[in-house]
Amino acid sequence: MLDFNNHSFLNEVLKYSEGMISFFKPVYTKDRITDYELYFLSENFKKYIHLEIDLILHKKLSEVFPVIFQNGMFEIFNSCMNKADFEINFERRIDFYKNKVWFENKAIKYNEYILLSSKEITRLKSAETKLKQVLKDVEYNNTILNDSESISKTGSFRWNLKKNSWQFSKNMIAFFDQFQVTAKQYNNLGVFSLLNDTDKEKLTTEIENFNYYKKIENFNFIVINKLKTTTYFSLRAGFSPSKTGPILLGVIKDITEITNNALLLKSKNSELIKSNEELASFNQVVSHDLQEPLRKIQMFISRINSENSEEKNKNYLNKIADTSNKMQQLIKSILHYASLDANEHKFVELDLTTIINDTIDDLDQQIEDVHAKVEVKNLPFVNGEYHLLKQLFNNLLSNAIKYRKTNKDLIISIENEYFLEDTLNINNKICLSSKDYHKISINDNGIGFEQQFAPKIFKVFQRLHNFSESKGTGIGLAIAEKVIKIHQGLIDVSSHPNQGTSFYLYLPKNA
Amino acid sequence: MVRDTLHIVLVDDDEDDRDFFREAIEEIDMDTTLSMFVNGQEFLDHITIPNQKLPQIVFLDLNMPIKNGLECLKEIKENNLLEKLSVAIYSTSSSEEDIERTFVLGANVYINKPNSFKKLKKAVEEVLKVNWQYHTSNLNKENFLLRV
Repeated sequence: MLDFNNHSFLNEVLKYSEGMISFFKPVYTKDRITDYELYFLSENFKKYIHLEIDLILHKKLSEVFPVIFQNGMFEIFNSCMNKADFEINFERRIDFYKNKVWFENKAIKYNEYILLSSKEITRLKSAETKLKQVLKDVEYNNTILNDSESISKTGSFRWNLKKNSWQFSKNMIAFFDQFQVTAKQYNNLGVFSLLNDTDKEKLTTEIENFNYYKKIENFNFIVINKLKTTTYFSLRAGFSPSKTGPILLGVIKDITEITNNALLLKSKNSELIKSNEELASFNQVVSHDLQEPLRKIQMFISRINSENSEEKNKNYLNKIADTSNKMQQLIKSILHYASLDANEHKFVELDLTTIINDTIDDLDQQIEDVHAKVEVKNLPFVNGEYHLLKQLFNNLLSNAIKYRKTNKDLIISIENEYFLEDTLNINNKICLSSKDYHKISINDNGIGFEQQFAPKIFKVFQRLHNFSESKGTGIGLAIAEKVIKIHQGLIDVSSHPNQGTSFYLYLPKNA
Repeated sequence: MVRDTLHIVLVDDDEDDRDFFREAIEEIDMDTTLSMFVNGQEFLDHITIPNQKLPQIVFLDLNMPIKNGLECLKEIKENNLLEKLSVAIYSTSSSEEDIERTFVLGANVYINKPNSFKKLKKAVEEVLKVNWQYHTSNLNKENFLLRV
């Protein structure tokens, strides 16, 4: 029999250590262990129990710590009792009233007793719990980050400038994969592996001038893949200090959809402006151009009376007939102009030379009447609609005939002009290159006009010249412009008074 | 009361309208001379020749090629030598916008081209009888548009 109560030395030592010792003596009913008697408890347990240890000593655990029958400790003790030198390590939380304490325990059979050495690990345990929670949170946040990056089409990266080490989010890697950037490339060059040389230089400059308070914002770049489709990106980044030098934290966002939508919106807007302008000019047509012949007819009628000579009255009647004919033509051409937009257009490959020869055939009589000469030089094939293009050339040739010089034979030349790059100043400045466009010029040696009137001439019902006989309805060039627009092209004009006029048609190649 | 000869100018691109106007002036019992121009540019080119004798009143069409009535009116009012010139707008347009803009630019009266010769004569006569030199002081938007 051990008499531990006399081992005051042991208690004294344990007082200064973190370790606590307890002994439990099995209680047998028949041959089975049914309980344990609390045989010894080192003094340093006292701070948890808040009781004189003597008061609970030699009591059964079922009375003082019945919890051991629920938390598996009873079974652990039994296992130890069944085997010599069988040591079981375990962690348990024991609740002393409201005080929850975690212990790290080691149970072992010592003689016919259970020796339990314990150590408090509550703080460690709560740190561990906290850590677990933090890890869980990180995991959640990462899931959310990945999801939100793929929803918002963004990717993020971290770059340690000094060590040139890069870290990427999952979606950032997906971006690299999308543009066939290899792991070797992106691990070395990071986000730079997506940039072209100009953008690389720009971003490098931004980074060289960095400070911790400034963010890199609105840095936009484009990536073109092998299929020549363009992806637009926007980059945002900021610097963060670290032990190993500055770290660049950045996000790139695929803004292709937004950009394309903005471009679409812009083009829809300009279409809208154009159609509003057309609406306004139709308004003008109704309030003026259609009223005018009616009013004149009324005026002529008011001039007819029995006091006039028969000849004079006949003259008024003729004028009425003329004016109403003109009005009918006007209405027809307005309807024609309006119908251009409404119709669907089917494009086929067409030889411009054929179209122009057919146009010349149509205008045969007029051309002969004024002794005009039309020269056609190696024109290309274009995609278009035959009747529209014929109408276009018909209008331009008719125009040249209408505004010819009366004292000189009219010469019209139509040719395919070589050009590198042209800047047109139509609505806004537009730059066209010969790579994408044919440039067809139609030149005449007619009366021309001051270049300052160039923007006016394509407007509906604008005429620059006074012709009392009023040969045109003022709608021919407006139709020409619309036809060119339907063919995704542009029309421009340059003119000198008394020298002549050149119209330039830009038609897309292989459109 | 003896009045000096009244010098009148018509700027209109429409030949028929010029004929109607000339005939109307001829039938009005007043001592007048009439000069006609086919667009704003022709008129301005003529009137800005140094020492040119100015007319008392210009009838100005709005919708004309090369230089329209609105541009012409603006240039008249911006020219120190011409600012005293009385301007009668003579147009088919009855749009509020045209009336408003020409009023703001300083035209004296706005005549809608009438649909009968009788009305034309009446309108021209009424305009010619006004002594515009004195009339300008009580110019307002209510009596700007001439009603015949």
